[in-house]
Amino acid sequence: MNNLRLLLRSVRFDNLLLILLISLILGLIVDWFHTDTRLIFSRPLPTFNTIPSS
Amino acid sequence: MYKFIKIVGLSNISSRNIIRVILGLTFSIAGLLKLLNIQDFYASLELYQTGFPDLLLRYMAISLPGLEFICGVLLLIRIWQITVSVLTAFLSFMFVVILGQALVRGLDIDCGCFGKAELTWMEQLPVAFARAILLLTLSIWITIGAVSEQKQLTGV
Repeated sequence: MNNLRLLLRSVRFDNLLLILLISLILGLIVDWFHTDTRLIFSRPLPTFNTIPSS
Repeated sequence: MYKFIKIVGLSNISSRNIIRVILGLTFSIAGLLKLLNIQDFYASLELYQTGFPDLLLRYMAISLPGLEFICGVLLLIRIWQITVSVLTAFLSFMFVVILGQALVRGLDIDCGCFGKAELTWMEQLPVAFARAILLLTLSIWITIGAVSEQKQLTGV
């Protein structure tokens, strides 16, 4: 019981959150570069064609 | 090679150190292979038929490989040891649960543990389940080791 209490006290939740955040960002960056098969933001970005006035 | 041994702390050979390095290498390699093929990992997550919403599965497929990779690297370079070993134990427990439910339901799928790598027999569910149990045992062991080391340092 004492060990469990020490374990819970030793876990740094700010570090835990940082690891989770970095892994999410890392995954999003890797996913972003797979432009044709993205899991998140999967819709292709709109392209704008400029039509000359003439 | 000598530099690698020095960085991962294997110059002091103890069972805990060896297990930490094995766990670190396993997690970082598995994470990296999945990270390189996120779409395939998402496809294999879908095959588990967990019933989770699609958006949650997508975010799991996005964040799990990176989490595994970071945990592996941090285990290797010995940073935030207790936090990382607890996270590793939690991840291994999740693998045991997910693989166990697939095994009980008799799903005929590859585990997808190493991304697109064609490891045939290593990707089979019973083997993957046994591996997950081994990973869980080892990560609990290094967590206990890290806590007892902390206990010695703080004198609690």
